[in-house]
Amino acid sequence: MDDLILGMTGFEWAYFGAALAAIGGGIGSAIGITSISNTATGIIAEDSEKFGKVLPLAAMPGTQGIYGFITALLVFIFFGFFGGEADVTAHEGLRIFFSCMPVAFLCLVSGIYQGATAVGAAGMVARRDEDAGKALIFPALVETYAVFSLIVTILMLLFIAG
Amino acid sequence: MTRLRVIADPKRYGFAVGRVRVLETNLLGPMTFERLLDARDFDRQRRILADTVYAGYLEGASTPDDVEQALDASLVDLYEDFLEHANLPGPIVAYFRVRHDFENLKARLKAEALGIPVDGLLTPLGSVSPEVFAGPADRLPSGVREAETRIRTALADEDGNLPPDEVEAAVDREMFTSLSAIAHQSGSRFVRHLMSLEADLGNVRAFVRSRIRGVPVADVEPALVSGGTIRTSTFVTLYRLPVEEGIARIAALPPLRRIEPEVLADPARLDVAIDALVAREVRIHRVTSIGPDPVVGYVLARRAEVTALKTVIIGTFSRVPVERLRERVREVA
Repeated sequence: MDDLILGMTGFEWAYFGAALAAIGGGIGSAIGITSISNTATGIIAEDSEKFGKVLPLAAMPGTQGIYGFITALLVFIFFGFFGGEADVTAHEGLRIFFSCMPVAFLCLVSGIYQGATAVGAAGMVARRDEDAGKALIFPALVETYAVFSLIVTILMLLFIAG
Repeated sequence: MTRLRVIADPKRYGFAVGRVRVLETNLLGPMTFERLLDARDFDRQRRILADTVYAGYLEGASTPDDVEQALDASLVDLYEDFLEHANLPGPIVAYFRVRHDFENLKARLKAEALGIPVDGLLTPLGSVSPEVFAGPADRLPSGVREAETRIRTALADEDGNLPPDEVEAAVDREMFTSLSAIAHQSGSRFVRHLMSLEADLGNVRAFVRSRIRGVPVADVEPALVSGGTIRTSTFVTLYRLPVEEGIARIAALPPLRRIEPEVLADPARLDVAIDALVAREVRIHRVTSIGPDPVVGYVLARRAEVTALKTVIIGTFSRVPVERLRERVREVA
């Protein structure tokens, strides 16, 4: 427990990783939702009947924040942070930190780009109501990589916890 | 910087682009223009436009002047209610409105040179009220006031009289210089491109018309404006060649490669081809998903739509043959 890497204990490295996952996912979602929401409100300002059609697009970049939150929660659960019995060496802590990085980075970037893709998709919905279903597909493709990052992070955390 | 645009552009232009995506579905399509052309009288045309944004503006109109004023009023509202609130950089808004200030300056100076009242010649589309242009020079916007001073210094005789036939070219030169500076300040590649295209096309118009009429090169040179991709010296050099060769060489230059040399050589078809070229450029940029381009593209499309509507409605009033009107609006609408 007393060993340190770069002046930080295992506990601190694990906390750092969990925090970065939550921060990265949260920032990605916040920016992504802001992007699409600005366009969505412009569309609704001109045609309020489009609200139901653009809402799923506006909600879509929100998932990255959830993945970051799940990652942080799993770190706390898997390594006993809730019970106050966390016993993590510096090397384990560093491994937990690296396990959180896929979600921290990919959710940050994919959230922003999913918002940008949703802006284009919202333009499709504004033009033709019937394209609302098709418009969801392209931002959903960006989501794939956020999901992959969550899977990789969970597998890495399971490997360390096991 | 480009990477940050993915964050900054939706924040800045997202709302306006969202509005544009809905508003552009209301732009009049070729079918509507076909119906307007077939209508052949204003009452029927007004009924066709009853469900459009123009219905309210055309309600009380009964003469070509009324129609012109009504359609200009629709553009004033577009500029004031949409363009000014679209969160666009100031120079982009100025790019649309300052040109009308110069139109008013042209009207002011021409009216003075001809000794006629300027009222009725002014457009309300500029950045300041048209009444300002009927008043003293010190109330004019600074850029326009400075342009007026330069024009007076260059053209006025000892008694301060202006030659009416030289005012137009002098104001156009000042306008293009001013618009060129505004386009460079705008930070929009599209606006810069549009500006240089407009300068090139303006010069081509002057070149072709003057060359066919056999105007001496010395008289054409002052009418050429800077700011385009083709240097004015190139026009002057090509002007000295035989008509066909000069026009063929102009047609081979990059901005004009989409226009056939025989179209370029026919002043009646040239205007249509030039409008079509600009409309094509605007269409290309309107499909950009986010940024200032879709907003600029929409405003330009509305401006072109108003011009086409004026052509059709006022042409119908004046009993211009349908085929001529159809040719005029086909590519633009």
